[in-house]
Amino acid sequence: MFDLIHQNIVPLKKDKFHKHCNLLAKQPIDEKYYKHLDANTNHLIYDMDINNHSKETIMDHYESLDDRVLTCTDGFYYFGMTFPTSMSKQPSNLELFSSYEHSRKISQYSDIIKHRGTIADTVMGLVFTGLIVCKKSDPEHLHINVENMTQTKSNFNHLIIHVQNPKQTINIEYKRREEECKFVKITLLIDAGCDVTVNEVILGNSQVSFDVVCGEYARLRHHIQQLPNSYSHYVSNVTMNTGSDVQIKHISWAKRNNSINLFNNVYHSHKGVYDFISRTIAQDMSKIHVEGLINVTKRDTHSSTEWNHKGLMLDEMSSISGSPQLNIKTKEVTATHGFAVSEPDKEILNYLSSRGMSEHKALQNVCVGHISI
Amino acid sequence: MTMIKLKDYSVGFDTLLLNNLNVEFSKGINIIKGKNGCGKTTLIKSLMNIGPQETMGNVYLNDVDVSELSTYERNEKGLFLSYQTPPELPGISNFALIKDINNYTAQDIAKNLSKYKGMCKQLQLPEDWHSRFHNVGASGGERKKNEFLHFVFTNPSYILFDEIDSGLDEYSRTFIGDYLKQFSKDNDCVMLIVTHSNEFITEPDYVWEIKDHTIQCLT
Repeated sequence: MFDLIHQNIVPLKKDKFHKHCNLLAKQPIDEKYYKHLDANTNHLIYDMDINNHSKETIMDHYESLDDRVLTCTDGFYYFGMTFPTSMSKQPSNLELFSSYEHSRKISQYSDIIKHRGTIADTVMGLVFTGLIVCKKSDPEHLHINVENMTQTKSNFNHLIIHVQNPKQTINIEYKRREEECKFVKITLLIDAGCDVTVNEVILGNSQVSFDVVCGEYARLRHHIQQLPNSYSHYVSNVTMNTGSDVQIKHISWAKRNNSINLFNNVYHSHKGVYDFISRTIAQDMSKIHVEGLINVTKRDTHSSTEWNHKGLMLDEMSSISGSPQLNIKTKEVTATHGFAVSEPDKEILNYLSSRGMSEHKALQNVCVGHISI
Repeated sequence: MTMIKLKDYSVGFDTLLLNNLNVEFSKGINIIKGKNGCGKTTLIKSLMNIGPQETMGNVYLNDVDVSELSTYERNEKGLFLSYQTPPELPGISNFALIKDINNYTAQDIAKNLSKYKGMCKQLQLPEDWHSRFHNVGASGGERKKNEFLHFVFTNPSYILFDEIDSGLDEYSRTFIGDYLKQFSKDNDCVMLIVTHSNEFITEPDYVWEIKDHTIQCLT
């Protein structure tokens, strides 16, 4: 089943894809992305070193397990339950259940998962992996609820979505959680020429890494809304191919001492278009950090990049910081970046007050306007 | 009788713009004229308690002293200010703003949206005006029409217009001018209109001129 990824990836540049896969496998999360965690919050950082174990070490631990639940292919390690390869076999809404009880209902491997989970917990924690392939004949809309993460014993939940459908909309919702959350990694593979829209709503605490590999002339529209209870960390890694067109709109609203970190890394491409628009709001002593790194190599000529962030600080005790970085190694490109932080516009607040809006309602309207992108 | 009364009222920034005004603006249309920079806009903004200027003295709406009230509270007393350069509100549509201001119920929305669209048509605004973001990408004239629409849908008693006629085409200027005259006749209200034009409102009830830090009634 896992070979599907490699078999169906033909339209992608193979070398680039494999390079990226290896990168993902070896470094599912780069420690530097989370360097702020320790400093800014007291939340537990889960051990993400699982893929730093050598293949042999892992095999030693799991040599007795069935091949079906442990597959190693070119640096990719898969564990845990697998999802149906085609959405047509499932109702329109597929839910990623992490609890064993629920997974039993939809997975034929439930017993093995349970068994392996027990072992894994004692060694390094269960890695929970799901694969969804959106084929041409599948419905255009895919809804995923990432639920009950806290019930699982896994530290790391990895969902791979491979889009082969020429037009696909994917809605991903993370349910509101008050307590500590587990790490969620989503890898989105988009075949050449496909047009994909992803709407991601992250409610509650979260640690998400969203990795995208875009095929040639693929188009991605990615909208993210992030509303944490106390903390939320989001890493976006985008690898583009010739002519791919990626637009990311990211909205974050931090309240009540929240901490939000956004990291945005792009490996550009020849004739690629990358547009990142971020709007953040910080209030009640919350902290937001936004960081972007756009890599444009010598081969990525005629590419276009726009990186733009606007932050709104509702009180002096909150903070919004950031650093957009453009690492450009060729001349024939268009690239702009901007980072701005401001207070609510007093003129607008006065205007709304003069129309009969209370201070609270006026501010609410200003915030709504700020995040309307 | 409806009136706006100023008692020992002074307005200024670092220097005094208007000194010790004792004036009563009575029911009807009051035109305020004066040279650029004489303090017309500053005066009416100060009445709404907007702006960086400092004020001394008292403002009365009828006999109620509103000097210590905030902008929002003054609006609650029936005071309305139409801006000379209204700001853009991205993300908030024209009708959604009116809906928010008036706290419309579901029934009110249906009734008033149809009325709103009718007014937009009369003002020669685009058909989708109600759903466009407030003043975003709008011309000067269109912004003034938005201000006028707010006035129409809030129905205030004490109305301050800051150059509502500037930027409007001839048809819209005549339409709004006629509407204001009719509104003034039909309602018990005080209207203060800052304008440089003699043609906008013909035969106003009162004409005032700000000159030498004071205000005088010319008619």
